[in-house]
Amino acid sequence: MLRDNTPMKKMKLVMVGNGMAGVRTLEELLKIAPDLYDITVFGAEPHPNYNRILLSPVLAGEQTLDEIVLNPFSWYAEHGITLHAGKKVTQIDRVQRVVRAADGTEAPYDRLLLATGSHPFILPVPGNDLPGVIAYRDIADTQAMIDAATQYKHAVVIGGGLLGLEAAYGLMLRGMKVTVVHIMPWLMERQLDDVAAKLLQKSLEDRGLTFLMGAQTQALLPGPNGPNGEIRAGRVTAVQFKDGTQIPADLVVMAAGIRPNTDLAQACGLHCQRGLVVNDTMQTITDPRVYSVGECAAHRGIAYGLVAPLFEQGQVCATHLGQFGIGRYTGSQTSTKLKVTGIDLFSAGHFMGAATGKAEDADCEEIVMSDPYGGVYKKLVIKDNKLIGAVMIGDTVDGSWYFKLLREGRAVGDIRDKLMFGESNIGANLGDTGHQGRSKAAAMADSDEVCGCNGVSKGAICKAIKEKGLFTLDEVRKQTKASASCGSCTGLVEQLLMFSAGGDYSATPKLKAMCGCTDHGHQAVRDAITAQHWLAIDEVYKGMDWRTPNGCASCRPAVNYYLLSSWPKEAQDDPQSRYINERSHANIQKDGTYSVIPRMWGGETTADELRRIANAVDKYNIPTVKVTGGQRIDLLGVKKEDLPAVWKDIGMPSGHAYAKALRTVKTCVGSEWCRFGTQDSTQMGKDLERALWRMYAPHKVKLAVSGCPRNCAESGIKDVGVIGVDSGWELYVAGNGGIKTEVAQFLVKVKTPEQVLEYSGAFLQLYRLEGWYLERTVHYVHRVGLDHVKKRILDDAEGRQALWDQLQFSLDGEPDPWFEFEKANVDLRQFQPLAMMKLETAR
Amino acid sequence: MNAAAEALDGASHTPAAPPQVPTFIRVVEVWVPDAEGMLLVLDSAWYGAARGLGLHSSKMCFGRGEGLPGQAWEAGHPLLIKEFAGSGFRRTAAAHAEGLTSAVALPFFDADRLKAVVLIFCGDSPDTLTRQAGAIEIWRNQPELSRDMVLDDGYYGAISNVFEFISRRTAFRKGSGLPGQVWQSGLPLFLEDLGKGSRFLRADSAQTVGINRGFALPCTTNTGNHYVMAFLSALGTPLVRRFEIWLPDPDAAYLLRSSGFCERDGALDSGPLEDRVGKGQGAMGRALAQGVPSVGLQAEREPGGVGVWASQAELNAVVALPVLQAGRVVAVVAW
Repeated sequence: MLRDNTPMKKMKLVMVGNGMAGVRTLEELLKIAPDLYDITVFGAEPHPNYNRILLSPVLAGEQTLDEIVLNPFSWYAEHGITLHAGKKVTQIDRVQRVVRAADGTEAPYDRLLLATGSHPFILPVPGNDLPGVIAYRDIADTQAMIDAATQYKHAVVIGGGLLGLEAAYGLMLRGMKVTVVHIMPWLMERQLDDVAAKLLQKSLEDRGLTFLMGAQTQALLPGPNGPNGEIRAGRVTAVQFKDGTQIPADLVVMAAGIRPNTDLAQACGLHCQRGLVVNDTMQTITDPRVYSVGECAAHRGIAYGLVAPLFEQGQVCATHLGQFGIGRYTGSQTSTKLKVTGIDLFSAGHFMGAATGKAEDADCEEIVMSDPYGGVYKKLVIKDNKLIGAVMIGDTVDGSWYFKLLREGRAVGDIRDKLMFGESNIGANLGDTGHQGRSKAAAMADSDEVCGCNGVSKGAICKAIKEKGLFTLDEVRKQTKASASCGSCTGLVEQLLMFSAGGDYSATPKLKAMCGCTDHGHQAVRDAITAQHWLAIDEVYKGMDWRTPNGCASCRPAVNYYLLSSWPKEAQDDPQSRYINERSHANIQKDGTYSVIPRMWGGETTADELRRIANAVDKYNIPTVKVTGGQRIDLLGVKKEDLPAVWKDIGMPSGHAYAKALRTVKTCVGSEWCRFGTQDSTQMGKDLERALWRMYAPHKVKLAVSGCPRNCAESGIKDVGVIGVDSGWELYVAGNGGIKTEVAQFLVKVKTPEQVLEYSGAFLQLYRLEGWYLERTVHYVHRVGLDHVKKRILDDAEGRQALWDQLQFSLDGEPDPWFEFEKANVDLRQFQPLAMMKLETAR
Repeated sequence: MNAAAEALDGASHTPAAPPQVPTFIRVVEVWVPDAEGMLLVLDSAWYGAARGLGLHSSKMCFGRGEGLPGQAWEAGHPLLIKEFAGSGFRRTAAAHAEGLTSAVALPFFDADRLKAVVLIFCGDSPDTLTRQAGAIEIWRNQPELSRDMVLDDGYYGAISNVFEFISRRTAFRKGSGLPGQVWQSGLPLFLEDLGKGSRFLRADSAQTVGINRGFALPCTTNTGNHYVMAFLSALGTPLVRRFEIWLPDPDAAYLLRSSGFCERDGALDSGPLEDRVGKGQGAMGRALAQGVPSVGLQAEREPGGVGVWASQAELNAVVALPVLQAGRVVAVVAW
């Protein structure tokens, strides 16, 4: 009754369960109604709230328990919350409105929030209670696995879902021989189709895991002693299957799914059906004083297990606990974007499509792109002109965009031909010309969601960055929660930081990490590679305490480049750390075919070359032949399986139009033909191109040589532009004709073609050594300053010569990937037709 | 556009009317259970000039025990808010900005089943010189404890000193005084001048503080107790501009006006048969048909002569509250 004019006495809110969903609800509640409740929290574990998703990195030894704590004990104290950690609630008295813990602790409530989470499903087989048989659910389980790995050899993980795979990989990293037992025909069947799952399985097998698919566990067998005679007191020693076979097992991890933990709720008479049944305000339908969020709650018949829906529930629940009445939870469309042992996966919606075999799915259409040997597979499912499902492995950068299309139910007819190639190919068509990797973040609308787990939009992140003056990823995490849960959006948040903080961001003394896998920046990694003489990616990851065992799509190509550029002839190129175009040595086009651009030195060609090109066009039914802006001939629409044959028939060097490398040296006709020409620009261009081709660089590099100041070759907007004048050549550097045109800056005037080669080569080698990966020359020079460049190239003649020598040494003997397949590490299996590949991977 | 949004929209497009004396009852919101019966959602509303209060109402929903509507549902009887700040009511700033000072939440039950919760927001002035005084009283009889009806809760605003003192010390038998008469008849009652006659036992006190209008309504509850809610107001603050009580025919096929009072025209007699309102027609017809309160936002289109009278009284909306006995509509109160 609201009869009193004095301020209301605080109500008592008790929360049972101290996990992510429940504590998120409290955080939201404290934001909007900090004084409404006296809050008491009971947690069965003796820990404060931690990020359960990050138990896998803890198991893998990549993070510590302290690092995954979300709300330290001090947080509870600061907010006046009474925390009973390590006290398991055993009874709820709904008449007296009091909860009781096993140790007798009692807490009365006006409102009760049940966030009891879930139980791991334990297979009902004999021996499931043996020592050495555990679930994988909490810190105690994780610690038990870590301890077991120090004493035992054979681990069996039952369950080939996400949790099982993470457990298996972590145990393997800790030195155990791990077998994953999965009853279904393919892994992660709820998130992946068979093709994606087979790719994942192969990738994990390559890393050392063993799989038993379709295997039905019959019993877990104890043994008196271990293989070396040690007393094992009935510990599990083997897993027996229904076909009678057995495999050794010193540790069995049950990761076969979860079930809502409704023990308490049921015991106190709350209606449970597939979880504790709640309405749209997360209020239980039985007792209006009792609310529930998280894995234990069943909303419209669904108990969610992913973190994003649980946080949505928490937000709604908080507004109703706070008496605001705003919002209702109407269920979540979930997507799965995750990393399994360093392999990026994404799935959303009805990704199986027609493969279900159901009549209602017969009219589902699929767009598929598959590069099994490159570890990339993408499938989009379309029905009634709408994207209804997507599954991806290897390249998941557009996952959130696909999910947005799916959630909005937007018609995709108008973008269908470009759909497979992602958001960056729609509208602005940024291609690979985006500056400093910003294109993805820049292209997003403010309302677009960046962090799916916490429902944080680009606009909210940018606003926080600007208004709160944030400069680091950790600051953004703290302020907005973006990237603070599963971490899969970390790269995007970093892009937004760069994008929003701009110059301030650059000026901040705080270190910009290369990606979410490490706290080290690009420069620190380069410096360490040089100082430590590291030659392999794994050495870098190990030596610099990388958080992830295999890095990510951001850091792998960068580290690979730094190794190759720092230690030419010594470091081994890792093709799997190259972008798909670099692996295919051709540019993939929007219809899945490729373009072939042979090299023409200085833009000059011959009748014989043109005949070979024409013959190849006819022979391979190449639909389009186009002259490019860089004075080359582009054959568009080449089938992937035809690429090696086309290269061979044309018989011209690779144009590297697909690579972070020297692309073209554009020239005008020069003094040989032009009435105004003062220098032989064509020959100069040919000489430069022959000297610099095969040059791997932080980003693509374009040159131009003009024979006179009329500058017909547009030298003023190239990475290196050369302009002939009466008394020699003028050299310009760091120009760019991309999205934002940047006029090249004058570097030096030289007299001879040899000097042009030396000065240009020295500048490019300096850029190769000092530029950060995906940094164009214009950004590199902006960062280090033209004075620095001049000092190294103009003021230090010996240093210049040394740089030029280094570059020549690096390029000497570099293979042409179109012809020297083995030397260039070209995997020819990728050019086999798709049908053959599918058959092979399915075996 | 839902009714609540129309309420705001209509107000924004209504040509400015000549200045009128503000009424004590300023806002009415009707909250009904959603299709699943789990949450209360806004069904219709009249905000008058207090548009700010309704800006977010249509986006709200309340479970049992949540917010003012949910608390009335949970309590099972009328609830009074005498001061928004500190009450748990979350639209306090908007309420203050619109000059609202008190509110009552009135649940409508058919046996144990909640049919609606009506929130009635009122506004008066703490300055007695303006004679903008109003009071809300909730009277309760607990049969197992007493044969009397006593004050359960009351808001008295500027008249709290004298009148509240008397009221808190007064008990009514069934049939006695305003609350007792309503309790006995189970029907609403409007008294146009409390200072005259014998039907209002606190007439002397009322005259002292300037209270002259009174209206009482029997309330449905699920508690077994009997509740009567009363609105009282001073001359400078009419409860509403026009107030009417309509009764159904024996077959509940239509409503016919029984009595009423208009601040412009004075007392209203029973209406002619040709002005009856059919079941389901307009706001009052809907209240008869469904037993749920209703707000008609286009008063001039209301059937059965109501529209004409509403226009003459410069009303742009009609609020209709059903009076229920054992789930049956025995009267409809309209203003």
